[in-house]
Amino acid sequence: MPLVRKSLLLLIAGVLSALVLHHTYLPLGFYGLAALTIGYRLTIFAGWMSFPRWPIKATAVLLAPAMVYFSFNGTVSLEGTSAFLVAAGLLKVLEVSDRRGGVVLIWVIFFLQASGFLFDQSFYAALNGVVSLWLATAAMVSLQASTTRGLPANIPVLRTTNSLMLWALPFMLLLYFVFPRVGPLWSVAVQANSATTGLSSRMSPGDIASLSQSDETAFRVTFDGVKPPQSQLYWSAMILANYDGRAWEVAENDDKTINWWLPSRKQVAAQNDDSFYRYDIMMAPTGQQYLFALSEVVAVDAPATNTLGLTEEGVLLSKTPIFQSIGYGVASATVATSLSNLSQPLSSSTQNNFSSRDQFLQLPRFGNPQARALGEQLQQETNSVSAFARSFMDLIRNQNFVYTLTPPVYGDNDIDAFLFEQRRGFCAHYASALAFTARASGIPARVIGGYQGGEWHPDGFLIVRQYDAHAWVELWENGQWQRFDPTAAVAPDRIEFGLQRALEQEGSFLRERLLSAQRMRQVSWFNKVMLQVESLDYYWTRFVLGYKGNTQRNFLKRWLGADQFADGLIYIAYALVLSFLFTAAWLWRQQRLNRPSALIRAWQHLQQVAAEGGVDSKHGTAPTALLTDIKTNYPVLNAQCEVAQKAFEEHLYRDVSSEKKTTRELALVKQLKALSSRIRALSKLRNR
Amino acid sequence: MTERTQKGRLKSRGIREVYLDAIRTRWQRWLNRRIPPATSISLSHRSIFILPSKAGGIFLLLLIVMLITAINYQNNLIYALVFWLFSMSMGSTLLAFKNIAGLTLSALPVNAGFVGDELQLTLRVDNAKSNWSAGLQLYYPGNEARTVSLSPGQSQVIQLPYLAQTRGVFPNQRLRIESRFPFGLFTVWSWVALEYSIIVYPKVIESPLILSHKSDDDTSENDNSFAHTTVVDDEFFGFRNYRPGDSLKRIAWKPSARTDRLQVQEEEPMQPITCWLRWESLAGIDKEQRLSQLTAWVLILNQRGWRFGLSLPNSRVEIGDGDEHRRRCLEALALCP
Repeated sequence: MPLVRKSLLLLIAGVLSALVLHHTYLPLGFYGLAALTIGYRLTIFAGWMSFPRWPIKATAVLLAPAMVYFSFNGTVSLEGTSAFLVAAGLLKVLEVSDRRGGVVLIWVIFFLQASGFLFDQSFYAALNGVVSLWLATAAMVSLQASTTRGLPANIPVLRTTNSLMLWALPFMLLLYFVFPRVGPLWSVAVQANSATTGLSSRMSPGDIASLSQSDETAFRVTFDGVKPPQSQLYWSAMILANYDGRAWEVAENDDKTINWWLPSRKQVAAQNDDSFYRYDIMMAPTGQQYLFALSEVVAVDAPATNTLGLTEEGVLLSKTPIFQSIGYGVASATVATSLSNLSQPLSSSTQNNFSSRDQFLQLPRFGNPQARALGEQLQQETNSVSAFARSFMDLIRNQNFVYTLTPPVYGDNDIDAFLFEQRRGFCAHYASALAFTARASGIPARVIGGYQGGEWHPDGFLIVRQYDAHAWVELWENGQWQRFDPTAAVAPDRIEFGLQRALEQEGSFLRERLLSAQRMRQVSWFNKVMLQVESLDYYWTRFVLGYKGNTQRNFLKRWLGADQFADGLIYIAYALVLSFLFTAAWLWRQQRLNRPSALIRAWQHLQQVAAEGGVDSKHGTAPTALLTDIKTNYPVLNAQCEVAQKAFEEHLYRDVSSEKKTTRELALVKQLKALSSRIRALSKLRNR
Repeated sequence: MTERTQKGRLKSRGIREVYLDAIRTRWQRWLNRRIPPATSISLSHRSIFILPSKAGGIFLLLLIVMLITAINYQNNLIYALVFWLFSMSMGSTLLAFKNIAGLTLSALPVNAGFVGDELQLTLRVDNAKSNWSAGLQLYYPGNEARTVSLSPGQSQVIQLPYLAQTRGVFPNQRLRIESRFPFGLFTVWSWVALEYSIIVYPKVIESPLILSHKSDDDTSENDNSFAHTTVVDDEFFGFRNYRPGDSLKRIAWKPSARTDRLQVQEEEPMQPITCWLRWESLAGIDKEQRLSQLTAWVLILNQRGWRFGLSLPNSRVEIGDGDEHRRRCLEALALCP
């Protein structure tokens, strides 16, 4: 069955549509391959070239895997595997020439689309999926509708596709909501080189500045109840405690000290509602394990039990790296809440046995002598940790320090160069300098990496973007960690209003992204559209992508009263039975419509009865002839037959009004039925 | 030892064959009850079967793989894609059914043929529904298929080839009407037995003509009949070498091929010859072979315009000529028990 034009074009469009989501990781060479194979196939279709012979095919089959291998350095990763699938699909395009090949290509399209969802699950990805599904389905229909003579004109390929997709939609939704979301069956290959942006576990002072060029959404927060003031929105993600003279790094976590059994918010909410911030976070994939929370974390609602844990230092962690958007709920103690009031502090750092004190005092033996001297000087001048930090920040405030996205590159003794020569830096420079001087003066200090602030959407949720990335410092005072943010000293606007306001004078906000939507927020209509897009994305992430685990359980319980996943399966069964009944009813109706009229049925019955009674009626005997035969066989029925015969003739040949005709037809049916029962009775008598 | 195992294998195969045969006959019996042979048959849920096709099986595997991907990566969009595809394939069964349900197949008059000929069994397919019947495939098992698509209300006459293999009254073979529309994931089909009132004549085997000149047909003198028979070969019909000036139309190509020289047919005798074709004249040959030779002779004599009669063990056709006579002779041969 050769491939008709419509099928071929639909197939190629389907492949292109299914490739869209793979753009995030595919090397440039693949676009060349796509252009080559699709172009080649189209010229074949136009008749300018013939199908490639085997040497070309063999070369292509050898080259494509080699291309994949070298593009991904020979590692087995999700990207590599998907790229291999992409290459195979593109080569299949070149070769496809008949129905069978077309069907294979459709399977490839479906699988490409599915694997594309591993890289992007946004609302737009879903739209793209609908388009691909439509194209591939239409291609399937056109393949099956075409015959050796091609596709018949006017055959409703697209209408069939549309009606099938719409018909299937409610069933799809039902399955989607009810199908139990179980955990992974086995651990899977993960993205090797995740294309996601975000904090990294090693922070040199310039790192956050580069992150600030991204306006991607890092996470969104929905507060339930009290919302903290903007200046308190310190979303800590990681504790950078190890300093090697250049960069701050996350200390390895001892898995044994991580607490995977966290109380849920319900358990702590009863204690005192005002003493907690309660919020839900929907975060974009990071490819890493860290999560965001306001300190101090008191309770966590994980997407599934025991998937989130809290380290000794009070940092939230996911058990596995996060490659899909996830949602979780947190309750954090407000500043006003005295930690000692908590019945059971979650992280041991709040307790007084501060065992790893040395870890937070560790410094390289050499380097930055001026900063060390400064630390010792401040230590002697002040009598408390708070006073130390305050005088450090006064120093920054009074000495013409500049908050800039474009600091100079500092070489050796970078903290000295920053503090005493250039005085230009981004948040990481200030945090690094404060932590260094504190440690030099014997105060336990650590740098916290995370995000600060965020933008409130009119719908009431908070959007935290990558450029809200921030670093600040915690110092050990009176048996607990206290937050100090030296950036607030140099650029108070950064903390109160965000990065854009803080960099207004410099004009470096998102400078590398001229087309960024965030730069155009001043245009009011554009801003409105942006807000709409934001809220769409928010609800999508929250309710569609976040539909799993506990969310599903709650949803099913609320709408279907189902307590367990097993109940969900029962609903699937109900749905199947219902659709079965519906189909049966439909078929029955269809059959009724096709049923012969009452007259014909009565006539057929008479024929059958007569045959059983010994009157041999050949198929196709004229009605009147059969009645004559009956008369000869059963003389008793003479009169009755004659009446029927006459009625029959009248019915067949006399032209009367339709109304009269129906009444006469009914009378005739009655007569025939009566005749049938008489014959049956008579033949029974005879047989006796 | 080896002999025994071979025997055993033979025996087991025999048993399997027996079982298969039993299943086949039961199946045919069931079909005859379910979809009785008729001259016109409308397809309804009673006569339509539906099962996943091979492509449907592969599709199911694909869905399972995709579902596992969705579970392992906790990916809701893949879940949605899998469920949508699954629901659509379920919905496609309904369309697949609608594609052939309500079609009416009616047998049309068909020319008789000989064993070994490809009969063209003509039928009309009526699509009285309001939807298309796309990509219908019709065929008699073992024969070539015809593909047809019918728009709503359209009727089409199609000829299905059928290789005739047994002589006699055409058995009500079941034809298969099948479609995979809309997705190719399910095959819907029906086995339809259309009643054709045709007779399949015996296979034609050309052989030298043996004629009995006896005008009376005294069958008691069976043995004698040989004495009065003549072998009629090409010579008998008077072929001679080609001479310049002969019309090209009179060149007999078959004998020419045999002799390597062009042969020309001589003028027919003016007076039609009268003769008998006798069953007994071919004694000693297999029954079917005999019938086949007699069939060939009937054809030759009819072509030549001779008057002839046919005598068979259970029936006889009196001397006559013309196409009607030919038909009667061939039928007698076809129906010979």
